Amino acid sequence: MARCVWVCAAMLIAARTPVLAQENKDEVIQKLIARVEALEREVAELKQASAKSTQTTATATADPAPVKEVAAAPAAATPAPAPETTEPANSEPADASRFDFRGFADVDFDRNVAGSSSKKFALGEVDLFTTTQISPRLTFLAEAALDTDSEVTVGSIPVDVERLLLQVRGNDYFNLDIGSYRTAIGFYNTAYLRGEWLQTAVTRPLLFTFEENGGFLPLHNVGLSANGAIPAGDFGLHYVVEVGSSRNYGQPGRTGFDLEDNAAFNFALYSRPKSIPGLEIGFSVYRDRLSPVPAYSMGRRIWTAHAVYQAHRWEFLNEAMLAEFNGPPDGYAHVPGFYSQLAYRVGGKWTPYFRYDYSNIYGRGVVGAGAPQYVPWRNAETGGIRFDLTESVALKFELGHDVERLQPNFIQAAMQLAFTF
Amino acid sequence: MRSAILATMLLIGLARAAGPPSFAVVVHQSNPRVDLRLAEVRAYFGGSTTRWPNGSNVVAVERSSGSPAFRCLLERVLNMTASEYKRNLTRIEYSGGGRVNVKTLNTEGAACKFVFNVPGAIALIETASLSLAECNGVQIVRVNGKLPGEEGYPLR
Repeated sequence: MARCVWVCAAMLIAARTPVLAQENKDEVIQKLIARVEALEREVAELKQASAKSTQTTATATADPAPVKEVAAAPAAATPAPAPETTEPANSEPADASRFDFRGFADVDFDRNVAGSSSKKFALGEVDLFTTTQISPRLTFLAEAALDTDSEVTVGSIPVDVERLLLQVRGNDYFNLDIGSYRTAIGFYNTAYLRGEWLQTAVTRPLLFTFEENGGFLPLHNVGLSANGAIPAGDFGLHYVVEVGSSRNYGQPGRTGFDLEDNAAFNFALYSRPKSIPGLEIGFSVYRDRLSPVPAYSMGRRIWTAHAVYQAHRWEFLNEAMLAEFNGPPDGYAHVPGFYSQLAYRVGGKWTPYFRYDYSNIYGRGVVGAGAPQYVPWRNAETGGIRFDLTESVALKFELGHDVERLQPNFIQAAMQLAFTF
Repeated sequence: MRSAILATMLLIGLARAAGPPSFAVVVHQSNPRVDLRLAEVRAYFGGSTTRWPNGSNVVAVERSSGSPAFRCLLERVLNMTASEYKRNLTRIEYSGGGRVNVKTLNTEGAACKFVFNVPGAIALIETASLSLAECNGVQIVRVNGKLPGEEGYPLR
């Protein structure tokens, strides 16, 4: 009997043991979870403290360059051996997702602008540009330009929302921009939009005159712009596909004003071969319908090709374009054109440059007869010199000779102080 | 490990014996790109290449303006003036290509320490600074197949 009791007791204990063991495991897991949570809180607090510290030191640094994140060296004050550092191995800069703000402005002195016999100082555009990283894959980009010159009242100063984009950064092969973008027509329009300080010359190539200043190319659209790399080894191929609508802004009555938001499509392909750093060659095809007057539209197609080299002191920009305007039965107009700009940096600060612009018009009917209003210039020779006073300030002198279709030829001169902040 | 230390010491010795300063390109220990062409180094520092082949973002570490390493970066790697360098970075960002990650640090030790901590970082430092404790944990990159101190090394 006693043996039977002992056997039963042993069996009960044996049956209970796994339950106890399981309870112990659960307890240990709960403790571990609590410990992990506590450690996570500590890490978060340390990261916050580290971020604040980095911001403080960055503010204290005197370097004004806005594009760079500047941090005073913590090791300079308290040398510490690197291998013992406990920062996470996959850490990024603490302020990688901060708000970036940049501005461009210029002051000019112009003589005989566009053939007028003017002689005056002029305030250029104030261009404000900002990017914000919303998340690792989302970026917000906004750019607004204020053109204060020639405005009589403060209320009439146009605030031009130049770009407003939500940028989805997928990977090297696919990125998407949603909003108001600059059309990837040719090279110059995507490389230099606003911000006179960025470009070498005072004036833009005549082909890429802004719409509100009488330019006939659709340099801005609203819609979707996809871009990315094409796996092609050392050829460095990239594509851009854009679907959008023409942007209507500027002063009513100007030439080139598109009265209807017709759908536009653009495709661009360019190569930056790795074997020749600084070289870019490419082409683009654009198609939409242009409505210069109410309830009327004509087909518009624009082909461009470019070959650009910017390296080793040289800047050699070459772009050709053919624009077709077809409005049967009202005729057609074909506008071929090109420009070529050569610049070379002498020493550390001087960059003389020369540019030649050319356009021609072939057409028939009403469309052909009206084309010179859109492309009033025939060719232009422009020469000048840029002097970089500091990293952020440039002084430029320029002289140009324009041959026009609708008015006598003229010579114009300009001096510009352009800067970024 | 010992051979690596000896090699580093040899490089430093050669650099010092050579007279004019030599500069080394260093990356994080986990970075597999330890043999780069000078054009690739230029692309990483100039902002035209913003990602490593493994997809991580490139963080270019530059030394403060006026330092020998910064001058080497401008004159021998980028062939630009400081103004052109700034214009180039600004233009990339301005054209919608995203912000180029550039970190400016005031000392060689801080640059090494930053590279040690950030896997996507790349820095140009004086070869003599490789003896610093902060530089123990970084990888020296071959440029055009050469290490600092070797005949034909381009950054000296």
